[in-house]
This record gives sequence, C-alpha cells and structure tokens, in this order.
Amino acid sequence: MRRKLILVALLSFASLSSWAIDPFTVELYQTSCNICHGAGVGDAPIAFDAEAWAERLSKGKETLLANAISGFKGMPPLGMCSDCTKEDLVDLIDYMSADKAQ
Amino acid sequence: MDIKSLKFSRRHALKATGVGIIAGMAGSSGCSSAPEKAAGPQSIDGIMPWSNWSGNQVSYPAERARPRNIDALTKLLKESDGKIRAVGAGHSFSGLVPTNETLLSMARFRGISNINTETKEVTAGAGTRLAALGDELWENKLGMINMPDINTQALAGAIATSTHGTGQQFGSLSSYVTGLTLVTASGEVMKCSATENKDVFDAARCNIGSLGIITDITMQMRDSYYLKERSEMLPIEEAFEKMEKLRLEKRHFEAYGLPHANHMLLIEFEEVSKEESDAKQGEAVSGDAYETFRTLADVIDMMPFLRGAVMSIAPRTVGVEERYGQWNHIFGNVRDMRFNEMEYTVPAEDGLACFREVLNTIKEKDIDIIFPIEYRYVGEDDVWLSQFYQRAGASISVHNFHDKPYMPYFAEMEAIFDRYQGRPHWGKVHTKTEQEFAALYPQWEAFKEVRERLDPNRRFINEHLETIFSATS
Repeated sequence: MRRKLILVALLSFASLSSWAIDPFTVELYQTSCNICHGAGVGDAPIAFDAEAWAERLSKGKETLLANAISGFKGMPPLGMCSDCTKEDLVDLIDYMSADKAQ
Repeated sequence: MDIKSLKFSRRHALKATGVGIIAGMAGSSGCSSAPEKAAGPQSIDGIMPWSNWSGNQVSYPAERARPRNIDALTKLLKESDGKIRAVGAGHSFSGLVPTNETLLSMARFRGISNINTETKEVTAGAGTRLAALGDELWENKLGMINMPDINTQALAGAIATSTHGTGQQFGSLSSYVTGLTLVTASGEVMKCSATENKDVFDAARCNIGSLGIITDITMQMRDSYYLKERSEMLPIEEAFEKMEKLRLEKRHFEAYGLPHANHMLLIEFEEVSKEESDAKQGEAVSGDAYETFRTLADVIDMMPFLRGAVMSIAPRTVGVEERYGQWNHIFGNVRDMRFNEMEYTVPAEDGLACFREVLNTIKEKDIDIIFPIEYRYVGEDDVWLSQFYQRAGASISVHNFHDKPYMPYFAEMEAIFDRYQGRPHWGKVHTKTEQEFAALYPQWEAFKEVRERLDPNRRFINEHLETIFSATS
C-alpha cells in the first residue's frame, strides 16, 4: 500500500505545472530514450510532440509507466535505461510528453 | 552518433543486426515496429523488475542505489553489508547483474573528467556510455584505438567483460586501460595502474563486477581519424580463401556467415584521410543488401521450408557497399533488433576451422536459425581474465531473436567451441563453471586471491557468480 501511495504521489506531482525538469532527466533522455523517441523509430511517440503523446496519455500514466517497465511493442523492458528507477521513468514520460525540449 | 541516419541508412540497417534485417520478420525489435504486447516482466507488490536489454535476465532488487559521487558511494558501502550488483546499460546476456538485494547505478559517474594531451590518456566516469565517450573524444580531436560495433554499453561494463571490436592488431577495451579507481566492499578507495596496486589492476581490467565498484577509468587514446568501411558478399569458399589475407592486411576485418547459405559477408575497415572521407561521404556507394534480406526474411517467414534455397540464392544479389566517416560513426551501430547471444573466442590460428565447423553443423543438423554468425579477430593482451589473455583470438558469435528459444542452438555451438578450447565472453550466454575457467585461464588462482582479499564477505557475488567463484573452493 505504501509503495502504491508513493507511486500515486509521484505521478500526481509530476503532472503539476510547476514541475521543474531535472537536468539529470534530460541526460537520461539523451542517453537512453532519444535513440528511438528522438526520431520516432518503430512508431515510438516522438518526444515533445504533445499530439503524439496525447493518445498515450489518455490511457493513464500508470499504464505508460507499466509499459515502460515491462516493455511495449518494440520497446525493451525499461526502455533503453537499464538502471532507471521508477521515479526516473515517470520523469522521462513527463519530459517527453511535454510540448518541447526544455 | 547520428542515430537517425543510422536507422535509415541501408548499410547500417544491414549491420544493425549483422545482416539482421532478417529480424524484421521476428517482431524482435529493440525500438522498431512490433506486435502490440507487453513482453517483459511486471512489477510485483510494487517492486519494479530489472531486466537486461534482451529480456533473458530478470530480477527484483529490493533497493536501487545511485550515489551522486565517490563519497556517497563509499558511505553506502561502509554503512551497509548486503549484496550489491552494479548495473550499466544492461547489455550482458549472462547473469552478471541480477540481484534481489541492492542494484547500483553509476549513472552519476558519467563523462570525461581529464584529458592528458601529452600522453593522450583520457579519464572517464564508469557510467559513461561508449557512444557518448566517442562524441566527447571526437570533440577533443581524439579517438579510441578500437571500438565495439555496439556502443551503447557503459564503460565500466565493457571493461568488466573485456568487450572488444575487431582487428588482429588490437586488444579488447580492457587492454587499453592504463588506470582506474576501485572502491572495495569495505569502502576503501584504491587507485590502480601498472605502477600502483599492480595485482588489483591486472585483475580489475576485466573484473566481471566481482572486485568492487569502479568509479573512473583511464584509457589510452589516439588522435582522431577517419575510416572507410567496405562490405562484400562472396561465395563461401572464395570468402574463406580471402579471410586470412584480410586478417593480416586490413586494419579491421570481420565476417558474417549466413546459416544454410553458400555465401558470406566480408567487412573490412581502413583508415583514410579526412579529405578522402569528406569527398566520399556523400556518395551512396551502396548495394541492395537491405532490400534483399528484408525480402528474404519475409519469404522464409511465410514459407519456412524454402529456407535453404532462399538463403543460398538471395545473397548472390547483394552488391559491394562502402561508407566513409569519422571513427566513432563507422564503428558504432544501433542494434534495434533484440537478440540473445553466445560468443566464444578460440585461438586465432584455429578460428577459420572452428567457424567452418559452426556453419557446417548448422547445415548438417538442420538447426532452425537464420541469424548470421559473426566472426572477428582480436589481439592478445595481458589482462588476467580477458578472453585474449596471452592468446590472440578469433571470436565467434551466435545469436537468436530475443523471443525465440536459444539454448538448444547455443548448446550445439558451445560443444564445438569447447573442442577448440574456447573462452566465453563474460557478458554473453555460456554454461561454464569454475573448474572449466580454472583450466582456461592461467591466472585464475591469482584473480581469486585478489577477489577474496577485496571482498571477503562476498558482497559482489550473485547467483551467477556463485557458479564461477564458489564459496567452498
């Protein structure tokens, strides 16, 4: 239960408009996510294309997080970030689904 | 690295899986189109799983640590006493990483921290990815002496497993390490080099993550350079005749043997001037390998009984391909199709015989595989647990798609490699245990002595490493 509460808190916090991007998240994106999400390889939603992400976000962030953890379509488990934490993945989803790179 | 151009370049698409556009048939992609399914492990009771890139290794670490600096790392080690396994890019297919205790990320230890412009030695953080290192080196007019064709690994992971490229005059990445910093199980920080803690240095340059946590690595580099890559599909006997000559004459050389086929792809690399590279870079000197193998894959998928015929006929249509560019762009490839891999290194002089036996066995036993077999040469080194210790090697890699069974095929291949005294790649699938390693590595006991001294309570030993460094021996 405690872990669920933490996850809900994380997801809620991340959606606040005041959410500030951690430079480390940008580094993780460049290191691990850009390889596919930068160009939309294999139908991966292109980062910072809010329209492309809107459909995915409509499934709920918990679903997107679960997909990132387990792998989805062509995306391997944990994306390409083998050492990411759950918090990292949430941050990355928020970062990539934002309007433009910050 | 220009990932976008890599993805859409036919040449790169071919090499991305080692002539592996075949993989398009298998839904085995890393980030390419595939059936909609959640293929990997799920969280259990809120605990997030860890999985490697291919998905054949999974664990549920109770804790995940990511120290911000070396002080935080030493504090973590001093104030805890449980098992710890470090994780890099997750590109090992063997069970080096899985732990249900603490999984340690070195993602805060990234980037180049020092460049000695006189000696061309460069110090980089353990978590630095090889691709990023290549970009930083290029910006500083430097180059790695050699580089693997997958470049997404973390530097410490690549060193820990003696990861290598190809070229008989070049050793593995481990052989270019001139210094490193290691934090032991007790939190002691050790600087290691040929003149400082020499025994630990010789062990740590290929350490399988079993000695402690490496925080930075210093490597010998050289001036930046440009490369020309040329690939050509040849009838198999003609290819075998040329391979020894190419091994000796070309800076780098590798081959891809096609299962059930009578052709082989030979790839050679040569250093060229900037002027030649610039002049040729824009030219599309490309054959039709990509299209050929995509078609081939589709046909085999629909009509598997035609496999042998298709694999023999289709390669004949592949033309010569060439490309030019800066060293880190030519070496590095995106593997956007997921697979599992076994690799053994046999003595260089036995390489061709072993390679031929591998290809013949696949045919004779009608093994259901279409993934090309990779063949490379690597120079000998003096790193205790390197596959190339005092022995120049021919490294032979066999693969299958990540969602296909691989062990029956790999078992057949491993039996062949054993006959040639093959040494397995530490980060790839193998079934070797301690007794066999002791016979393969002259410095095995010396390594074990260092390991037990630095980690007496076996904090860095997980289930997989228990089979390699057993507690009772």
